[in-house]
Amino acid sequence: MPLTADDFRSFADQFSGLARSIVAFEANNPNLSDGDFHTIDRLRMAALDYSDHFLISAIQETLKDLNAPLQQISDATNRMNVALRNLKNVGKAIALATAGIQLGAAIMTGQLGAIGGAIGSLVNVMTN
Amino acid sequence: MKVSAKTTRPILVCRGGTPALSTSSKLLLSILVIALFALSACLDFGPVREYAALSRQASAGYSGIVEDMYQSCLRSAEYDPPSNGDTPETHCAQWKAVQPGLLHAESTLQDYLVALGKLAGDDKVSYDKNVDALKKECESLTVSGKPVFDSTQVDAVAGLAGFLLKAATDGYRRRELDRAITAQNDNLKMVTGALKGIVGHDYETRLENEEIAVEAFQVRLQRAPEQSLAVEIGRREARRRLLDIETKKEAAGSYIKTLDLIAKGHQELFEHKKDMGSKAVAKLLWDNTSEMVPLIHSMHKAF
Repeated sequence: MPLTADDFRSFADQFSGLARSIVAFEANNPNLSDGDFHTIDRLRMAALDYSDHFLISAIQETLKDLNAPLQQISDATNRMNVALRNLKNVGKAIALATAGIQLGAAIMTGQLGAIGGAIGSLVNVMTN
Repeated sequence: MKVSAKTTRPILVCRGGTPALSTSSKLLLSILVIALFALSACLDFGPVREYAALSRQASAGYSGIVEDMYQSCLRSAEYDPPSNGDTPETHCAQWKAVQPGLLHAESTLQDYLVALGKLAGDDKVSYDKNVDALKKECESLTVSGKPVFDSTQVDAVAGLAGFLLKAATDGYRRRELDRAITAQNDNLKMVTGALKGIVGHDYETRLENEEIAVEAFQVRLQRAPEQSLAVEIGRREARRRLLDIETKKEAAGSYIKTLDLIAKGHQELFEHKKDMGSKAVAKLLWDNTSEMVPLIHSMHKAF
């Protein structure tokens, strides 16, 4: 059975706890010879390295488990961004209606210059 | 070529050329507009927006934590130089290697919260500008020098356009928010739970390991044959480092609490998705977001 992130965390805790116990032992035994002290201290450092190693394994395992939910959240974000673009188009729709009114008024009054200007405004709104 | 009013009528959104409304119709229209505006005013996505903005700010503190995981390893290596001849950077390379994945997880959450906040954003002001432009066009619309609409009709048309716009866009926003919140609630719980594990356990244990390295250094100082000035400076430096570690642990604790609040706020939105703009939900979210503010400050102080 493959190890889970929680398994790796449990190992990391055990090695971290071992390192802490070694420091307490060192502090409580000031008469240790330099040779013994260095041997024990190397064990402490190895325990800390193992703890770090298992912490990184826990992180890698957690990130692996997150792949699918993160992808789904990302898809939902994209969908919301599309919805936002749609909402922005609402403003454009009103601008189009307004430009349409200008054109209608110009046509009703029969002024060719105004019709040209109104068509220009409408095209402008549509192309922006 | 002169185009008759009849052929142009479909272009006119304001239905130019229609006869003036009767007094009773005007009254009815006015009441309708006021009632519809009153109804539409009840829907306020402000708290949803605020929740999303604060959640995003809180999640921004995470990048400091991710960087500090690597930095913590480097600081440990100052006390415990690698015995195999590696440089501290090589020794800590794995902490550096997990950074992109950790940041990606958080940025996905952040992007989601940004989109949620924007979708709940109040764009009424910009719509109002558009409606005002429409109103002005209706006011200036004349046929044979006479205005097509009287001022009551113009107000009614603009009012209705504004209401319909808000109703339509609010309905659309609500539907899209509802869809996202419903579909992503479990995923959000999973991601915040995973980030809690990484920060609450893995980062805190890394800090714990750094603390052990500093404490081991303190023991070595105690064993030093001569208690020189250099040893005293070393002791003070070690105490300062231990205090820094405590501050960082507190910041990690604050981040854990904000992750809980992010998940709780999303859960509240999920449970109240049908009345998302209501005052009751606003109150729940305000309580939630106000709890986040001091936590965010605490994180900013540490990193």
